[in-house]
Amino acid sequence: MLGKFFFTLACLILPILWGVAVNWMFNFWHSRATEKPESEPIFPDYQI
Amino acid sequence: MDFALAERLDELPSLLGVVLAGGCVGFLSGVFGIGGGFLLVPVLHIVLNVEMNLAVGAGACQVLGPATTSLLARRITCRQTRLPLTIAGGLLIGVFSGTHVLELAKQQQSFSLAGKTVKMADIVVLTTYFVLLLGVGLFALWEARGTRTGQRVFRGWIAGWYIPPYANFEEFDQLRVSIVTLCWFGLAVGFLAGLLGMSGGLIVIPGLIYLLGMKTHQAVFCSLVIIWIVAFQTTIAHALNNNIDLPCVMALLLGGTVGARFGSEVGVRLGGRQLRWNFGWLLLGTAFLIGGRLIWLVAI
Repeated sequence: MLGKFFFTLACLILPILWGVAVNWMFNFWHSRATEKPESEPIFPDYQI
Repeated sequence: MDFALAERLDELPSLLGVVLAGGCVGFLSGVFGIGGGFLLVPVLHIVLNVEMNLAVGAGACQVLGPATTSLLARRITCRQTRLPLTIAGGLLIGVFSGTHVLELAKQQQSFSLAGKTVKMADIVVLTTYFVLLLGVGLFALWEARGTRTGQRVFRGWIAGWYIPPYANFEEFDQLRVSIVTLCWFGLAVGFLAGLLGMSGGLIVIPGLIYLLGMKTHQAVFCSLVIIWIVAFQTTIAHALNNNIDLPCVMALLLGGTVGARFGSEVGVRLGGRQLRWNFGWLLLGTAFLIGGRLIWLVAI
């Protein structure tokens, strides 16, 4: 009975954790993509 | 320990097949913006020969992953959960009834039909899938054709059923809606999700729009919450009946995430009308695949 309870819990938690992780990864990539233009150094188009 | 490891290594090729199947279904899900549960169960059973109850369990459990991501990405407010939680009671009874029917079919095991031995669970699930996909597929094509010709489809087919008690929901075109009608709708969605292992999005969105008369953009938000609740309930029901194989679920999640990423890039290049038309044909194609399997099971 306890085994079934923990199995059910694992069946619930694993896909939810996966979903949270995927969301976190997409947020992370999105924030990096939006930050990139500002964080990149701007080089002058002339070099002396 | 070594034996268990060897057993796992033996399963590796079939798990790679599941990852690939998850990837293909995920790709189509990304293209059409759908859950893909209705594709996953037939593909797992027909193409990869996974036992029907395990295919249904895996399909139901893996939905929790993408449903959680969608819910977090859309930042659903507490107010938007009012209607889905009203339907949740009907969903719960429906899910457990659907799972119970699958369990009964599983216990019935095999029976003889036209001189061939067939499994009851296979016949029940595949026949229900065939009827459902054929019906929704024909409706999707009819609706897409109506949009092309500028003909508007009437909405709110059962919204006019006045059975007390009532509640006011701003999501509907007509504010006063019968709670009984909502719960019956939830019961039907939950039953099909429990029996077929699909997320329910295939019937929830057209159901909310055409049966209950909900505004389209509200239906998308509402369906996300309903799908998450259904996935949560079906996972519990199928886990309690030993219908879930966790390595298979993880393989589906892995393949599905990668496939959906590529699919969504293709999907944004296609127009809405074109998508709806293609979606109708996808449903009909899946229905014919299932129909072929049913004929093969019974006649060949």
